[in-house]
Amino acid sequence: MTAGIVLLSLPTRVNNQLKWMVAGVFLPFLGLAEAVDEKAESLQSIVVSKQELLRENQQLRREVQNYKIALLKNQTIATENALLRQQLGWRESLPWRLLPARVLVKDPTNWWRSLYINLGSDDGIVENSPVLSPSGLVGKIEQVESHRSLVRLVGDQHCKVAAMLAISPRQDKDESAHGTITPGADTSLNPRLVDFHHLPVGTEPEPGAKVITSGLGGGYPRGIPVGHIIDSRSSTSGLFAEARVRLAVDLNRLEMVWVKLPDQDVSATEEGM
Amino acid sequence: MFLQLRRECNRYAPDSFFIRAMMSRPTFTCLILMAMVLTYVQSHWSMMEGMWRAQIDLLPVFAAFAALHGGLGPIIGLALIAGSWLDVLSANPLGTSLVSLFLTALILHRLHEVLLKGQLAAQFFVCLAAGAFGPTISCLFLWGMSMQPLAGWGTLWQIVVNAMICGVAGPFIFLILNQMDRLVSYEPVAQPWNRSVVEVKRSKRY
Repeated sequence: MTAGIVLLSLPTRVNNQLKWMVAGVFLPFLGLAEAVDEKAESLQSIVVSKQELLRENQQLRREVQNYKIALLKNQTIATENALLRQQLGWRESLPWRLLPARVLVKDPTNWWRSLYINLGSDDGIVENSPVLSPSGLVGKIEQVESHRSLVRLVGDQHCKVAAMLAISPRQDKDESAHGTITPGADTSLNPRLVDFHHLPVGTEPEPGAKVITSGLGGGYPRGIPVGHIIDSRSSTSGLFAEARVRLAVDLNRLEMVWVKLPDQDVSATEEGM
Repeated sequence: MFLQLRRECNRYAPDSFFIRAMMSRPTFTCLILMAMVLTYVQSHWSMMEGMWRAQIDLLPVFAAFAALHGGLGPIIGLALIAGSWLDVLSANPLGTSLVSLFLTALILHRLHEVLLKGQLAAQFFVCLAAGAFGPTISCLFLWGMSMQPLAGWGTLWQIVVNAMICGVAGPFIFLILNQMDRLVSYEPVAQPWNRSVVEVKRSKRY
């Protein structure tokens, strides 16, 4: 009991280091559990019929073709964008470096929204890297161990996201309302529902309007889909407007995520050359 | 608290914790392994969360078993090993589950003489209480330490669901662990002072 209280009263960094050491003690169990998982998955693949695999293969081929066409279109836009940036004298935007990761375990408690992935400092993961899925933002890396990392999901108290309403093509002005994504009153029961706080007074976003990361604060790059608006209201203080947002990613069904590695310092690379 | 612990230790001092506490080492190992496997399963498959909107924590049931069938040794062992395991799998700071499991088990252990641990109804209510008490203590501790756990009205629902599932699962887990105990433990040898098993041979003179 005393040991527990002493451990809890330690500074967060020291407690994390101790936790890392204890995780090292449990490493054989974690490895065993992972091996059992992989074995179960391979056993599952034996049961799948050939017909089903062929159908899935055909569907995937079709999707790849669609993506190839979309990529061609995007490459043209990217070239045009780079040219315009050059003409305006802006710095060229760097392509994202993404690393795929497998979800090891979800948090077994009700008061945190987090998960562990199978990448750690050995794979080049650093703290505060954004974590994404094809549908949108998942969260950020909070703790990095050598072979695994803790991801704080959007909707956790420790993962607040600077976001904005996506500018629709019909919008006249190139301005959008900015705010912060934080857990709401319903988040403990429904992890997909979060609150969009600190919107300017008078903002009445339409239900269904897209919410994306704003890029402010430097934590997340601009433009990652977060979710869409469900409803909005004025805050109790009357100083801001608030909205409820349904997250784009179903955080309960995640199996694979992508970690965005930090951009390599261009100036440092040039100096090295 | 220290004095109380020392008194408990002195009470068990003549023998090892496990012998006096009526829980053999193999049973204790089974208890720990089962608790660890179930904790891993609950963190890996979120089926229950999808159904009930609550993550289920069955560790309080194991704490209740250790409290009713063992002494301070198994309680501390379970709190240390299974508690640390849960903290390693979650974003909890190290020590959160240790405190809640130890407190849950200690309270039940203080009452173990008046609880009818063999009765199904008693097992249900003990596990129900443990299932509600454990997560509440963890949450309160985190709140008290300003660690900002995600708590709201939904937490109340999650505690109720957890308590109900612990209550229902408790008798099954007790049954499995009791069967394991019978499988892995030796039959108790009759003690020399137990007169019921002593065969008295009388000679003709009597």
